Amino acid sequence: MMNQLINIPLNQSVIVSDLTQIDDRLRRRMIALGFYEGCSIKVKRKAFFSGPLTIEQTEHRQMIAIRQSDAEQIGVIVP
Amino acid sequence: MNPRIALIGNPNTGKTSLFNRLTGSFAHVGNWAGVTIEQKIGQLHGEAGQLIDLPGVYDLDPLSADEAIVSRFLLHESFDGMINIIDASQLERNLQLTLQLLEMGRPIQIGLNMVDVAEGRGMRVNLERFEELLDVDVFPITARTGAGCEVLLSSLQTKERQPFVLDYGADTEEAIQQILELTGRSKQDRWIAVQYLAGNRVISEQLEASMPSISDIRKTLEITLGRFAHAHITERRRDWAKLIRHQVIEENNANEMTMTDRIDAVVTHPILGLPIFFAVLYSLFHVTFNWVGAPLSDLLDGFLSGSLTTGAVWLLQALGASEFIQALIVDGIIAGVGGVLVFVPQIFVLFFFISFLEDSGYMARVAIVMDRFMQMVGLNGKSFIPMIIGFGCNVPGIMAARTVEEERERLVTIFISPFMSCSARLPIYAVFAASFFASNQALVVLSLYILGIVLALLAAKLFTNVLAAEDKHSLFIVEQPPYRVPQGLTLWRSTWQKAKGFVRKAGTFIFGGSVFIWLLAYSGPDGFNVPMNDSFLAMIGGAIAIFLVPLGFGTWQAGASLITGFLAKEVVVSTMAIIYAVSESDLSESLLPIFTPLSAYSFMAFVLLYVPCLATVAVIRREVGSAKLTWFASLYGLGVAYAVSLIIYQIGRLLGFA
Repeated sequence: MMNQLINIPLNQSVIVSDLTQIDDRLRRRMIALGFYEGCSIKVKRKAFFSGPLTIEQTEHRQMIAIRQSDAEQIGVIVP
Repeated sequence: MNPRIALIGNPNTGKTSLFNRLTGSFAHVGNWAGVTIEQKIGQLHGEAGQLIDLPGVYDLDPLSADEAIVSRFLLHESFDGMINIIDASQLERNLQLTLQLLEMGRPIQIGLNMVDVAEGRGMRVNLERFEELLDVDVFPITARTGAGCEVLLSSLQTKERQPFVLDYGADTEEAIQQILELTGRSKQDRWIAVQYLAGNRVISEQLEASMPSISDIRKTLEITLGRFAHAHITERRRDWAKLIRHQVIEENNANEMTMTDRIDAVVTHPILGLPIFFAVLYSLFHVTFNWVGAPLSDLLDGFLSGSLTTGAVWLLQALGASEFIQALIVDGIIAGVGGVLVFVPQIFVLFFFISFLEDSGYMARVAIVMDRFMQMVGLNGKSFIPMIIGFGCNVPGIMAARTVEEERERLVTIFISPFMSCSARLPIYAVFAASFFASNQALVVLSLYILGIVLALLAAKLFTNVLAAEDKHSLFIVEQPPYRVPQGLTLWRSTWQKAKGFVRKAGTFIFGGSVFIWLLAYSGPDGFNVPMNDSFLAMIGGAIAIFLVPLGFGTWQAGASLITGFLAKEVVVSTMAIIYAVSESDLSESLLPIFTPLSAYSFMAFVLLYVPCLATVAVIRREVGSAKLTWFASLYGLGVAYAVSLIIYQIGRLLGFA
C-alpha cells in the first residue's frame, strides 16, 4: 500500500517507491547517497516543531536528514 | 618530472586527512560534508610531486559552487593521475563516483579508507577481488592515523589506461556514439558524452554553447527510454556498484544499536536537542574564559608587562637608546603587540573546541537542530555551520557558505556572517568584561554572541524578503556521519592551523599598526612628544567622537580605536593600550573612569557589529563577485551598530543603569 514517508512511525522499515514528486536536485542528491526507489529505509528521528527527519538507508546504514515538507512528497510502501 | 595528482572522493571520506599525511600540510579537516571548499595544493613527501585536494563530491554533476570546482578541474586543468579515496563502510555509494572516474581513462589508484569502521559493522573487504574487478591498485589506509599512507605514496600511478566501459544499454550507447560524432571527439572522450547525457551541468553548458543541436540527442533518447536519461544512467551505475559490492564485501549483518545511535538519541532529541546545543555553546565559552583561557592569559600578561618590559627598558638604557626609540619600543610595540598577544591562549582554547565540534560529527547534527529556526528567517540549517565557524574567524565562515546549495541562501549567509562574533573581537570583550563585569564575564560575553546571532537572523529575514518576492523551494539534505572520537594530533593541527593566523597577524598587521598608532599619538601639530591630548590621533578620534556621544562613548580615544579596528578588530585593544600607555592588565583600570558598565556594553555591541575587518571585506568581495554588493555587505553593519548601541545606551539610561 502506497503511503507518504511523513506518516510512517519511527523505526518501521519501508521501501521507497516514489521520488518523482520532490525537487530535482534533492532527488539527485538522495539517489547519490543511496536513497533510490526500491531501497529499504526507516525514519530514525523527527526533530521538534516539525523539524527535519533523520532517515537511514537500512542496507548501507547511511543516515541523512531531510525536511518534513519533502518527506510529504516521498512515496513509500509498507512491506 | 613533477607529477600533479588529484585527490578525489565523496564528502567526508578523509581526503583532507590523507592530504595532510601525504604532504605534511595542516589543511583543515572535519567530520561533516563540505569541509574542503576550494582546491588546495601540497608538495608530496620525498618530492614525489604535487597533490591537489579537491572538494568532496558524490557525482561529477555539481549541485553547489564548491562541487563545480571538481568538474572544472577535471575538464580544464592538467594532471597526471588521480587518487580516489573510498569509504569502505559506504562502498556502493562511493563506487558510483569511482565508476565515473574510471570512465575517464586517466591514471588512477584507490585508497580504501575506514576499513576499521566497516569491520566494526561486520563487513570484510576482499581486496584482491576488488583490485581484480576494477583493474586498479587498491590500498587499504587509515587516513586519520596514517596507516598505509606511505605504501600509497610510494606507488603513485601515472600510467595512462584505457577508459572503463560500462554498457548503458543499446539506446544510450547509440546516443553516446551520436554525440561523439557530432562533436568530432574520439572514443577516449566517451566519458564526456556519458556525463552530458547524465545531465552534468558544467559539461552541458560547455557542449551546448558550441553545439546547440546536441540537446536533441538527449531529448530523443529520453523519449525512447520513456524517462530521464540521468535516471537511467544512474540506475545502471548503481546496479554495477551493487554487483561489485556483493562480490567484494563479506557481511555478517549485525544490526545492534551503535554508539552513534545512542549519542544521536540524546543530542538530536526532539525536545532536548536545542537546549543541549545552547548548553554546549555556553560551556564552550565558560571553559574558554573562566577556566582555562583567563588564568593562562593572566600568566602571559604577567610576563609581558613584568619581566619583559623591565628587561627591555634595562637593555635599551644599557645600549644608550634615545628616548624616542625607548618610547617606541616600550609604549608602542610592547604595549600594542603585547596587548593582543596575551589573548593567544584564549583563542587557542576557543579554536580547540570549534575543531572538536567539527571533527566529532556534531556539526551535521547542528544543521538538524537549527533548521526550523533558520527556516523562519528564510535560511536553512546548513547556514548555521558557516555561522559557527564564523565564531572562530569570519573569513573561513564566509567561505564555508559555499556548501549552501541555494544561491539566494548562500548570499544571505555571507551578508549576515560578519555579525558572528569572531575571535579577534574576543580581546576587546575580555578587557571590558574584566573591568566592568568581573563577576559574570562568561555570561556578558555570551550575551554579545547571542546579540550577534539574533541580529544576523533578523537581517537574514529582511534580506530574504527583499531578495525573493516569493519563497522558492529550498534544498535541505544533510548527510549524518557516524560520530568519531577526534584524534589528538588532528585536533592539535586544526587548532594550530586556525590560530596561527592570529599569531601571524600579531607579527605583521598589529605590529605595523601599533607603530603607526603610536607615532600618531606621539606627534601632533606642535611636533614630537606632545601631550597625548594634542596629538594627531586625538584630533582624528575627536572628529569621530562627536557622532559617538549619543552612544555613550564620545571620547577621542574610543573614536580613534574604532577607526584602527577596521584593519583587524583586535587592534582596538592595541590602540587603547598605546593611548593609555599601559599593559593589558592595567588597561582595565585605565578604562574604569572613562566608561560606565552601560557605555562599556554599548561600546562592545558597537565593536561587534560596526564593519567587518579588512580581510573579511576582501573575502566577501571574492565570494559575492560584485563591488556593489560588497560595499553594501560591508557598510550596512555600521547603521545597525549605530542603532543598536543607541538603543542600548538610551534605554539603559532610562531604566536607570549607569
